Amino acid sequence: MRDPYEVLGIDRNASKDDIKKAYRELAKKYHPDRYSDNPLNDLAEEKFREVKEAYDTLMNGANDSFGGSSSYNYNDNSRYSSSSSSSEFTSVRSYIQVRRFQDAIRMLNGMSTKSGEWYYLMSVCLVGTGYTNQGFEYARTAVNMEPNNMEYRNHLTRLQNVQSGYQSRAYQYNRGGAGGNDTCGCCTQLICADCLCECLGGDLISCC
Amino acid sequence: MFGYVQIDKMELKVREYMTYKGYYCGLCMALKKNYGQLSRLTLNYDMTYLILILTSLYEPESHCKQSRCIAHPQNKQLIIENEVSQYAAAINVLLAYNNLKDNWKDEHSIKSLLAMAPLKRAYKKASKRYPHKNKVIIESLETLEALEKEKCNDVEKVASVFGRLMGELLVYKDDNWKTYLHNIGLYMGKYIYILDAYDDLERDKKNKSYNPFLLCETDDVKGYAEHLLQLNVSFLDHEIEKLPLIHEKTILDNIIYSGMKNKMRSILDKDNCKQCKAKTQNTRRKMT
Repeated sequence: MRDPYEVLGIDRNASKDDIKKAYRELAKKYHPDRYSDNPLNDLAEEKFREVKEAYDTLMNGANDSFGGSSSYNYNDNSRYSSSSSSSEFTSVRSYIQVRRFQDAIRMLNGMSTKSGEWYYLMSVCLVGTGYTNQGFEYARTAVNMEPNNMEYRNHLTRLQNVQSGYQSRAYQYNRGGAGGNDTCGCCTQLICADCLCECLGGDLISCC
Repeated sequence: MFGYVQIDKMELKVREYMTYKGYYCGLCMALKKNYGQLSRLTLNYDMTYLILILTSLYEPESHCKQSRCIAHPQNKQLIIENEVSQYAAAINVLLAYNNLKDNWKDEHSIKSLLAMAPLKRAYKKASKRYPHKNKVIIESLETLEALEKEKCNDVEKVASVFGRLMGELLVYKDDNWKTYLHNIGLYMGKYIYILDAYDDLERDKKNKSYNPFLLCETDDVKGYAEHLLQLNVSFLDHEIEKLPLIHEKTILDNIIYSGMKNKMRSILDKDNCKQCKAKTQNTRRKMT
């Protein structure tokens, strides 16, 4: 596959918004509807697919996806725990890669010993199927059982980042819009109002 | 559907507010045209969110016009309609009808039965148009009912059933946005279900009806609910951020960063207020 940044024609350090804009433009340009009775139809369709694939890769990049993408490529990640990895875990991981979480959960439930890897993989499955709260707990258990395993740690960090990401964006949004809608701003406004009243002969805050 | 997904009007630009209302009125018009006057009573804000997000993603051709309507006879309203509003209208009817049917079955509420009659024709039409979606709704409501019967105390499990239903409903086309939209619907639905369950807590306690929060083994129900809601809205935001949304993104941001937050706070703190009142009353009684 070609380099996704190249396909979208953007810089390597492009922001998420840049990626989205670039995708929009190219998707419009190559949209199959525009070439419905045109000899270039096949070419456009292929381009369209390529653009979509590039977008998917970038959006589900290594740092913010849960299951079913390159970030769970067990070939390079599970080296840390390979000593304990059994063939069962390998097949669980391959189920996770194709997002067949239910099958993975069924296999995990069939196992008798619950190691750190078990908790980690279960956590990935739970988050993938929407059981975020329990997934979180299992991720913590996995990290507690094997604190030195980077794979489990990264997974937990990713989960925590999702939470903090929303909080900071919501905070920024409300700060940007409301500007000064806090105690400090409120006091300043009151003092200003008091000054204005005094100028006009009245008084809002009698003590000053 | 309950109208928990709303805008924070005060934080929107006038233009954005007009656009939002335009989509809302567009949905209302689509209901009237396709499913008759009475179906308009099922209108709600959660469906407007569905229109916004699908319109933003697919950018279908929209028709804008100004016209009067029964609800606002004095001024002309901006109405924005597109193919997504047609879809949302059908889904709205299907959800409303199945919900009423459920209420009638469970609680034998005469009100629901009476409300069902005028919707019957609309329901038949909508289910013919989207038989698959109708099937999903019926199946999900059945699963929910089964979980209620066995008194499931796992809030996340029950909420996920509703989440998956919303996920299916958000999938508008069978294309490569499917997984993204399904996940958005999943977290959105879970969020709605949890907030609704918490909102009904007092009433369900009094009526001795099912509520997962009444059965779960935590002392701090409010804290638990808040934690779950925060978690779901974070993941919702995370999923939405993956879509290439540009048009109407500011309205979508307003909803998720401000509108939903406000609504959540008002519901979570409502309970707190009651407790405060009870406490102050108690102390007063003690003092006298």
